[in-house]
Amino acid sequence: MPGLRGCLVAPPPWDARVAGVFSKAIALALPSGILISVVRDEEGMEALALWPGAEAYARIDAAARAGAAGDRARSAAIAAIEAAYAAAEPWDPRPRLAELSRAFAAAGRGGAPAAAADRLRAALRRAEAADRGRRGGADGAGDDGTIRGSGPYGRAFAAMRERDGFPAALVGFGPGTTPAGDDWLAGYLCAADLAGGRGPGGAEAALRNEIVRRLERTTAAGRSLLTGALEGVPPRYLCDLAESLAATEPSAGAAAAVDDEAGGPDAGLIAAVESALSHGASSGRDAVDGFLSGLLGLGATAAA
Amino acid sequence: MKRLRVRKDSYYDSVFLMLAARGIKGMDGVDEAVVAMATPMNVELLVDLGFDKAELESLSPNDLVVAVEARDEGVMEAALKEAFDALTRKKQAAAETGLARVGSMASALKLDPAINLAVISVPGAYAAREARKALDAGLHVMLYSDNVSLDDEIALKKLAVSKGLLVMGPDCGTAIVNGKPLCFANVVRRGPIGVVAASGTGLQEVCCLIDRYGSGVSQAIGTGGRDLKNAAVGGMTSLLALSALAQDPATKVLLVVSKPPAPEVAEKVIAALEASGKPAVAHFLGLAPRPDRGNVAFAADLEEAALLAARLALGDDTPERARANIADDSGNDRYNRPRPGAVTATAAAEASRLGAGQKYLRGLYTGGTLCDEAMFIAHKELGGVYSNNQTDPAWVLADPFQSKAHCVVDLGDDAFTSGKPHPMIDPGARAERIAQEGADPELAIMLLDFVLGYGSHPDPVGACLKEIKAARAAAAARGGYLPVVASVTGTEADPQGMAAQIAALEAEGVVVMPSNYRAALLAVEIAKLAQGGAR
Repeated sequence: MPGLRGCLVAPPPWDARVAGVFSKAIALALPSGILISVVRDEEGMEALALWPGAEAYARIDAAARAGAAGDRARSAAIAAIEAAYAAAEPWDPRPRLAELSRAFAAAGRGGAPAAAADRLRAALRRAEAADRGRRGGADGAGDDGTIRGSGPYGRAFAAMRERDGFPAALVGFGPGTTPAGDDWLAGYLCAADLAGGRGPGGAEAALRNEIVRRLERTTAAGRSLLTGALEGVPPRYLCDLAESLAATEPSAGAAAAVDDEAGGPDAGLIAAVESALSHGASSGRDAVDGFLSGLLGLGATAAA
Repeated sequence: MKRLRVRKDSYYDSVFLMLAARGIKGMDGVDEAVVAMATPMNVELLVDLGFDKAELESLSPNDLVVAVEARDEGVMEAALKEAFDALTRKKQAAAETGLARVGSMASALKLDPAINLAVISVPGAYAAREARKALDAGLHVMLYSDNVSLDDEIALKKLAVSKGLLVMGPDCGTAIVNGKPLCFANVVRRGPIGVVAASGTGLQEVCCLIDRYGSGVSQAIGTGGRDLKNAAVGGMTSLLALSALAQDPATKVLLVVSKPPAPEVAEKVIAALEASGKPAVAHFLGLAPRPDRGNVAFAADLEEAALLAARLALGDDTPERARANIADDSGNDRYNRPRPGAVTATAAAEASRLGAGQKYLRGLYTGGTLCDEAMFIAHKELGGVYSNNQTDPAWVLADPFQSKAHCVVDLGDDAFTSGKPHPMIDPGARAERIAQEGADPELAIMLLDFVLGYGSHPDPVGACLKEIKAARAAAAARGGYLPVVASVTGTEADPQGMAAQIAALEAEGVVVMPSNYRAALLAVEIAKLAQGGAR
């Protein structure tokens, strides 16, 4: 199969190996693909990702493992990356996210983001109930160490919401290698772009500027996540969530859609939420929370 | 006392940071514990919690900090040790539970390279992409997702065949692989019968009946509905599965069940059964049964398909001998097949209590294949039945939410499940429909299926009993009577317990038949009597 190249966001764990060093680029082999950082000039650097297909990936990864053994192995890795890159199809979710954003606005959902948020909440309830069922857990169990719980993160998060500087202040805040606040912001920006009708990277310019200003305050993984989100390239699971939310036809009555007894949201949306929840310790959950706030934030703006 | 411990420039997966924090917070004598990256916001939080500001301010966002507030020195040291021990044994911990959660297929394979089958259940738009990834990684695929395009299905199956891998699906809800039930499946005995089915509840029904007849299943491979129905798909999965089962020494008998196949695909399947050299049974729903051919017996219904396969597995060496032994046994009900006379007598007794104006059969099904089987029988015997599954355009139910005359409805159809769980998972929609039908004074007989097993509702009968009772009470209040006939697809080893489900139905006066085929026959017989004014 042809590979993919573009702004893929690699899911953790990021167990990277140097797969190739070019004159102006470095390639890292991750379990989910090759990450290539291209240095364009002194101030410009572009991060590209490559999924070359399983067979090509295995060759590159093997060469990367053997890289330390000698120049020949490294050269083989570089040659394999170049070949895989040439054969790969470009992947960039922004054109599709732009379409979704326009469709969302055209269908009237842009004017009713609260209804979309209600459907997403209903899907979240279903997905979390299913997850609890699978794990035999209790409602809300284990939330204490998250920004939703009653522990120190949760208390600090609640206080931050009431203060000026929210949500930009979330950069680098919270548990996780990608701090929870960064996940929340990635979800927020994705939803704001979707519901605002301006497409990827178009909403919340002031917030985006403030996040850029604070990027140094988070981890490398958090910076990578936020850099993508700022450019309108959120993690793939958020792209899928946006797709499912925009693709779902609104039901005849919003009340019916959110009432679990009456059926609730469609299976596609629930599956997308379930997929999101499977990311990281709480990354996916934090991002969905941010996504919900992104929808509602725009709603408040529109209403005003 | 409060203490910090730092590991500079360290990377740990978030899952393990959280596990480490939880582990020490649960220790007796630990009042607070934070395991986090030392970003400025987290540093600020820790300072607010009273940890040492000077030490914290020297850290960078790439440093890991463990902050503990503990009752005494002993607890403190134990907690700090536990935190770093937890981080060190991170991957072992995930492996020990057997339920590691991973973010991608690649991560799953890295965790356990022996994995050889992927069950894919993502929205249809993305399912083909995931299936392709799995095939590229050398995995068999069970594609539970529906709404996968025909082009994608053909491309995936061609790729799979080229690699000698199975793509079960799309829209494949059931399989039993090496004794492991996948998605909707029943707990059946392992044995010598290999089943290939292009029909979900058809597969469940024959597997349960085989179990009840004393034999068992080696493998049950679902193929997805289009595999045999669509000539362009050409039965690629079915043929590959049959080839594998033909070579499998544990499989002694082959059984194929399908909704109406494309004629040329049916011929290929029959040729594969013949070429296998093993005793074989085929049942194509809705098609007139053919005469047996060599080693291949053609069954007229799901019950007969299971019975023939069981007899062949139990030692009958030809279809003729199997049929002869089944006929010989008809007098003693060894296979729990009521004699025609018994069915007629039950029908007459039920029909005799009907009131004036009661004339129509209404089948409310959660299983698509079971619905089809009842529909084909009733359509032939009653001169026409409306259904959302009808193959005859003149009898397609225009509004599946509203019954008309004799009517058999598949409540698992997309029209009912868009945005809602399948009725085998959540029987609520069927319960509502039972109540709706119960209010119709022309209703003469209600026909229901109950499918047990993994994936199904924990109490499918209990979820409908209130409505069944109310419908019967409503008929009585109108001066009539409502016969309710049901079948239960399941085994005693299923999580719901078959005997308890049957007992609950019978306690409400429901007539429970030993197979869907028998239930349909009885219901049709009652409907005929209602039409003919036998009461």
